[in-house]
Amino acid sequence: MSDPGETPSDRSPARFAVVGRVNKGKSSVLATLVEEADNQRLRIGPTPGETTRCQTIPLTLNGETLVEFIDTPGFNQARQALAWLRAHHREEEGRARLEAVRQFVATFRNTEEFVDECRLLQPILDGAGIVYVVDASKPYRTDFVAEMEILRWTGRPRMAVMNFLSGDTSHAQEWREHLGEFFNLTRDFNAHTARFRERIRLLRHLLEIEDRHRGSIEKTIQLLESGWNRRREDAADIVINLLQRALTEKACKNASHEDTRRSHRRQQVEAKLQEEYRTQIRMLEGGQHARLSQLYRHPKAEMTHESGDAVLEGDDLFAEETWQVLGLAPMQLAVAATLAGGAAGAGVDLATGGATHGLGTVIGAAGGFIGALWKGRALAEIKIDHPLLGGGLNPGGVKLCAGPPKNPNFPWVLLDRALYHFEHLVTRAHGRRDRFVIDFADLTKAGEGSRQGYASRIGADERKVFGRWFDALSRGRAEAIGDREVFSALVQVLGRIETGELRVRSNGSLEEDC
Amino acid sequence: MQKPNPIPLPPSDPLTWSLVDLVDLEWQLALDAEVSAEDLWDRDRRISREQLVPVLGKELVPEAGREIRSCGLRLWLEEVRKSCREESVGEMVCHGRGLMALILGFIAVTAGSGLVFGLLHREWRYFNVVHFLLATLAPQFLLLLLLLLGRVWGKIRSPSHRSTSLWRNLLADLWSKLATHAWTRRLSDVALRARTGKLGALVRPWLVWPVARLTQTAAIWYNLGIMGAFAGILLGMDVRFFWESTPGVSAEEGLHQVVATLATPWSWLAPQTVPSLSGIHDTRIAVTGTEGGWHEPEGVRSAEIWVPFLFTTLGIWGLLPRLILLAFCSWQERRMLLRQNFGDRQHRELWRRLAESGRLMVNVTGPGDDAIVLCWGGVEPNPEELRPVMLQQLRLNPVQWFTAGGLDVTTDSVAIRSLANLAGEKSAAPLPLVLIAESWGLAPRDLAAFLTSLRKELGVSPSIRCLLIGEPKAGHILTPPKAEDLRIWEKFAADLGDGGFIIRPLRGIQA
Ligand SMILES: Nc1nc2c(ncn2[C@@H]2O[C@H](COP(=O)(O)OP(=O)(O)OP(=O)(O)O)[C@@H](O)[C@H]2O)c(=O)[nH]1
Ligand SMILES: [Mg+2]
Repeated sequence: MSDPGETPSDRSPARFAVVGRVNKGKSSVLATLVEEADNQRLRIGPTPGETTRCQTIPLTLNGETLVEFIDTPGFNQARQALAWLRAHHREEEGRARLEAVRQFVATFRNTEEFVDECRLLQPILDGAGIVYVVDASKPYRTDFVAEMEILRWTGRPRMAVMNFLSGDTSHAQEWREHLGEFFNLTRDFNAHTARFRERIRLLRHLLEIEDRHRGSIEKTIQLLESGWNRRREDAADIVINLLQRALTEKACKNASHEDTRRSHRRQQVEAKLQEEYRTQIRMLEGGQHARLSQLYRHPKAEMTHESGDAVLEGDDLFAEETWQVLGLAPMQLAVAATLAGGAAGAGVDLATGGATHGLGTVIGAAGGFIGALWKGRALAEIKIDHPLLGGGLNPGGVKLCAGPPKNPNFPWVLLDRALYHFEHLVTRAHGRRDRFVIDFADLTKAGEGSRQGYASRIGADERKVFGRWFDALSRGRAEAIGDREVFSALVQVLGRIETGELRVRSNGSLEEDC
Repeated sequence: MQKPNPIPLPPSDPLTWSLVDLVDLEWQLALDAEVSAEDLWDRDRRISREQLVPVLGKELVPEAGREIRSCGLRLWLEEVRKSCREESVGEMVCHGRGLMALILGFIAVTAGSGLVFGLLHREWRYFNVVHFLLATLAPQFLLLLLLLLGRVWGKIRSPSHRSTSLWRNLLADLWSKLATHAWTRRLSDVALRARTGKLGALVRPWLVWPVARLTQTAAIWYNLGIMGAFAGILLGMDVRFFWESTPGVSAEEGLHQVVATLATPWSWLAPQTVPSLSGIHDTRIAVTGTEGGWHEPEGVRSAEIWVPFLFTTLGIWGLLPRLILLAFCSWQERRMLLRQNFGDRQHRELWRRLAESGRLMVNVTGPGDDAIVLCWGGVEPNPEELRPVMLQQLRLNPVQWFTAGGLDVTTDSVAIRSLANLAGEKSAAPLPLVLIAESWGLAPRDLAAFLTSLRKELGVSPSIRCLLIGEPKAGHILTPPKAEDLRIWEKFAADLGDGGFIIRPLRGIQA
């Protein structure tokens, strides 16, 4: 923490009070900025006056506070307060005005009057910088001058943030002009749509108004950015974990010899086992998706599959329609399998010291191609593993295992769903308090038969890396190739989803719904 | 690691990885999978600060190279190990391997010497040379060939089939059986048992070379058993050597060819060890001639002809290849340990925790304006309606609702008890109470009695705000009280003498 240019005065935390008229989104701006999605801890609501007292939110590193934000109750009687200030003090420059505000707070602090004004001005008098939030989607009115004037009287560094509650930006210019008279800086920040980059930008603007604490604000930004990158890598590893386990885990069960000999009983046992397998994979997927949500501080994200009128009875991942629109198209699958098959065949060539003259590669590739074309059409049907040496050795019966679906699209579908989840998480502002529902049906609704997911649109090189790893996993040879390559490919893809470069082609559920 | 090391390492700590370390690392990572992210973060941040930073300093970055990571993880492992007193799992695996080597070695020596004793004709004390060579060398080479074919077959088979290779399955089975037998006695709960299976899958790739080494060691003992038993027999008794063929077939040439081929590696160095054609001829018998034993022709010492050759053959064709293979396996094992680049998922996750210079914590503790609502005298305002009013007029946020003062007097004591319980649960200051009452319905004695018993339970500390509402109008319960009613309540509060009881009339437009 010994950044160059840091002076001793920087050591105290940078403090910023978020102030403004009631119900204009102060708490929402702050919740989005510090990623607080829990309404118990940071209350947001349509009632004017939802925030009743100042709430300090420290950003700490190893116990040391770098930056502190203070959510405040909104201005309720700014005009009367200004009138009092004016009545008690002549217009003078500088300190006298600040003294007037100080006296105002001292006068009314323990009374029934100007409760909110006293509460919100206190942190400013204690030295906090000002972040003034307005709803710039509504027209500008002169009554806002009162609160802006009071803030100016405090003489503290101040910045105005234009939030857009209704998304209407037609008044923005008008607001910008008026705010410019009172504030050092005016910036947009939509509390319901701002993403990570916009949050960082807002923090950088704080640097412009509060230079004294440059060190701690810069440190905060740097930590946020490195944390964000680490999170992306964590997310990639969660997805890798999911895919790896989904492609290798099985549901196994001991069946009696009786069960396996009679064909109808065998079918029953197998069907039950397949259902068990599906449940197991759904749980696995749910668990890993929940970890993703936790990682991005959206623990309340709900995953559903409600295709409009008909709710698919829990069967989402393995539903036919899911498999038709997610993952890869048959031709893409075939190409991916060709590449993977060719790679495996090349292994044979190597093993035989080239004696097969590259025949292995060709045969492997062709086998992969044909196999994928053929199996790619099969649905989410599941492979039943029968024991290698028969059940003869085990007097109790045979061990039957339901393994990953034969359809090579399976990992791609899983990947698409995980990425869809990820896109929702990184685009959802924490300041929103409506239900956070990630509906996988949206993915399947849009396109009749055409692929909607990410997997079908990532670069061919990335697809090859994924394909080869999936192939190795399903052969039980993943240790040989490792998951480093697939990790960096996935981190790339996640980065592109974050920037919006890669987004789902669904019917716009990601758009801000005003 | 001959490369110049950029890191000043403590000289006592070699920072190299052994199989014990690798297994321990994987085991610890498997354990970590069940620990909460926050706890892991705390532990690893501490280790990073105290152990890694002093050694690695500025090199400790998320994108550090293989050597730095290897060094850092090794330090980490060393620190984590300190907290467990028992024998580590890695040591268990290696001790298991040692034990296995001992048992296998014993079996191998017994098998080798037993084979030699079996080949000796007890009664007439002679060895059939051809049988001896075939029995001692051929099975070994056959087995080796089979293993090799199995590997190639597995490689050829797998591109078109999804199943794993036969060897892998067998090894996995063996491993999981061993692991469960060896450990489940110590690892009682089911989760741990499941984990041993997982660990098995994790360390399986590393066990390939150690297991290969184990088999080669056993094979060496087998050959030593053969050679030892052979030497013992030669020392202890007078044995003769012959070979036989069906009468009429002249096989001397053929055998000589075989002998010469086998001896090529050393015949140029010690030609006297190779039996000559005449020597071979002298020790041949026809099958029919064995009745009643076989006797060396006059002037022929069959042992002198065959023993040097047989001994050298055993050494060169039996023992030496095993030694070479053992060396190869050891070299591969070491290479594997050195090449371990700690780039897999669990390693990456751990490294990210270790290398991140710090995590920004955002601590939002809640606004602290929660209050408990107590509806008095049968009023039941709609929470949805009351909440905004309370927020705006009392600056309090209702979180819990109770009723009292209704028809049933027992509800009063129930409410008081629940409130007392609630106050008991909260270690912090008790939540403020908001009593909602209709201004026109005051029964002073009743309410005073209630408040007295309430104070008895809760003590004096929580303030009780009394939100007064007026008569319901047009379906609205929340109307402001009349001025005259308010005066009655103010008198009541004054008489009550409770400083924490505050009258707050609902504000609004008075009709
Ligand atoms: N659509 C939309 N709604 C918003 C936005 N920001 C805030 N809101 C909504 O506006 C209402 C008020 O938001 P709050 O964040 O509680 O506003 P506040 O300024 O803290 O209000 P008080 O604490 O009552 O002073 C809530 O219902 C929010 O959901 C926004 O950017 N877009
Ligand atoms: Mg608020």
